[in-house]
Amino acid sequence: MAVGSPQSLDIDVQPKSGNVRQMATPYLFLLPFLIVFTVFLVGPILYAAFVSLSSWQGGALAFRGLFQYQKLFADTEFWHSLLNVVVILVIQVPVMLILAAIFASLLNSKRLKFRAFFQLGFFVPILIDIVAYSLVFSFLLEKHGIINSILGVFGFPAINWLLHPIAAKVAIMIALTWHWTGYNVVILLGGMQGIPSEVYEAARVDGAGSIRQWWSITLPLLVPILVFESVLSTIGTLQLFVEPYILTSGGPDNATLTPVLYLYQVAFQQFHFGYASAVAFILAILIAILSFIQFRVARGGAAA
Amino acid sequence: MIQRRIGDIVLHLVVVLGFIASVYPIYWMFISATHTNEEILSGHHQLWFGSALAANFAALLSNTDVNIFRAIGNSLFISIVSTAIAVVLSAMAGYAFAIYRFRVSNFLFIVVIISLMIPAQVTLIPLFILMSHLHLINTWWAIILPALVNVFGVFLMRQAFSGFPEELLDAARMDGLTEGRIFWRIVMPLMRPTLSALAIIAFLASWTNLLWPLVVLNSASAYTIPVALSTLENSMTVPNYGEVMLAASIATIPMLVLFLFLRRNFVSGIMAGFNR
Repeated sequence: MAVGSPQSLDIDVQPKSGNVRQMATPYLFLLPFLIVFTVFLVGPILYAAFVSLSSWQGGALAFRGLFQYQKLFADTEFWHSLLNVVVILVIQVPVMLILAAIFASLLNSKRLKFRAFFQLGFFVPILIDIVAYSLVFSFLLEKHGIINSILGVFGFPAINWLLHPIAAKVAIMIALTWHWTGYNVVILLGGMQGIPSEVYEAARVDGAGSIRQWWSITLPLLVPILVFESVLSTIGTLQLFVEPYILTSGGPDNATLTPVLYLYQVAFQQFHFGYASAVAFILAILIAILSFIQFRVARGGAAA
Repeated sequence: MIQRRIGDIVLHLVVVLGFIASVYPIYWMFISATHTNEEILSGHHQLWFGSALAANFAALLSNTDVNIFRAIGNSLFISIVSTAIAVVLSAMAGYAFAIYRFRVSNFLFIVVIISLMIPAQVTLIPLFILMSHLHLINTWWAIILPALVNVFGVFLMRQAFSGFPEELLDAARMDGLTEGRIFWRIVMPLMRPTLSALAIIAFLASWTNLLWPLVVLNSASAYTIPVALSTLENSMTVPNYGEVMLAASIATIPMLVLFLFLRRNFVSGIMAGFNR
């Protein structure tokens, strides 16, 4: 490989002036990445910005300024899709994280038998392909599926999960919660194992019960992780695509249409590239704002 | 200590319930692969394996629209090649950022960090146009090439290399090794845990990616697993659920095998993916 070319018997870390080959070393290490980074990421991002400010006229891109964005702000279907993911994330993310915190605490308990085995079970959903698990849930949510049967045990009538606007949203939330709770449990468990056992022993000596210990030792240490998880989940939910694509195709009545599903339809079924790029950028701006908040929260957490 | 006893029972009960909820859908997928359509739709919940595995297998083999076995081969090739190259490129770039001081280092790293915040959907359309111009639509390369850019990997590797003992590098330089040799012979072997964690994250992302392959693949012979699975049900005039679940099971097995062999790396991979 070209990377290994500089012949250097020099012991100095700092490159000496005039030693061109040694000066070039870091650039040679960077070069392969920078090539693909430029061609397949930076270039496309800049081009997408240009496409979103244009429209196709007679096979060529014509600059139209903010035309696509103006159209987008008046597009109720897009706002509907954004509202859908906001509703889903506002309900699903807290439910999932509360479940994850509860199960992570239980799975970390020394009194639990077969701990490793149970932890493994919670880990397994992460390994299932998203399309595969969405297909499984489309059957579990059937009229005669297991979820309706369980509800039946408690006296609830069977629900047409994927055909009712509200039920379809709940169905997506159930599927998401199943798939991602274990992931969050694994991360929380990692955080909890970082708490030294002496801390708990000291608390026990002071007469704190296990619930008291959890409340005043475990939970405060989990809060920064939970904040991170909520931001990552929020970003992930804003980009929701596979589950609604497989389970509902965005229906019924656009009740589970998501921005990315809408983008996919606009771009690759109607071939409105300019308009779809504007959708992508609005989504990117929302996600960038959230990432920024994430970094701020992270820094605040480190300072505290 | 009756109170403690009750506490223990409640603890185990809740954990077992959560465990069943986690595992049951996967178990259901596997057992449904061995049942006929009528059994699955009968409304009786099958709790054990049936006898229709061979029939479902034959149906899957004779399905002319979707070839799941070919899709597995495609997915394996794409995921392995793109993961291997992406990990090496990320490691080299991360090493450059962490070890060397050079003029545009800070500027470049800030550009890299900013690009980390931009969601993949933004580049969907430009990449599609680019791939059409390069005549790569419907090929593996349309999926592999964009996957070579692993910005998060660069970030992760830079973090990992920043703690690398400088004395080791100096000693190697003293022995007359070139910078390239030091990287390949000394540094990379020592970074194996981080490299495998990164490889697992990249492999999982590639293996489960649906949106981009859906956009650039339109002939069944090039389908990856997620695309093949997503088109399987629609390709049937009368949906055969046993067949669909068998395909889903087959698609899941490679991941489970990989997990069994690399369990510890999986967990550290997930933690690494999170700790950004």
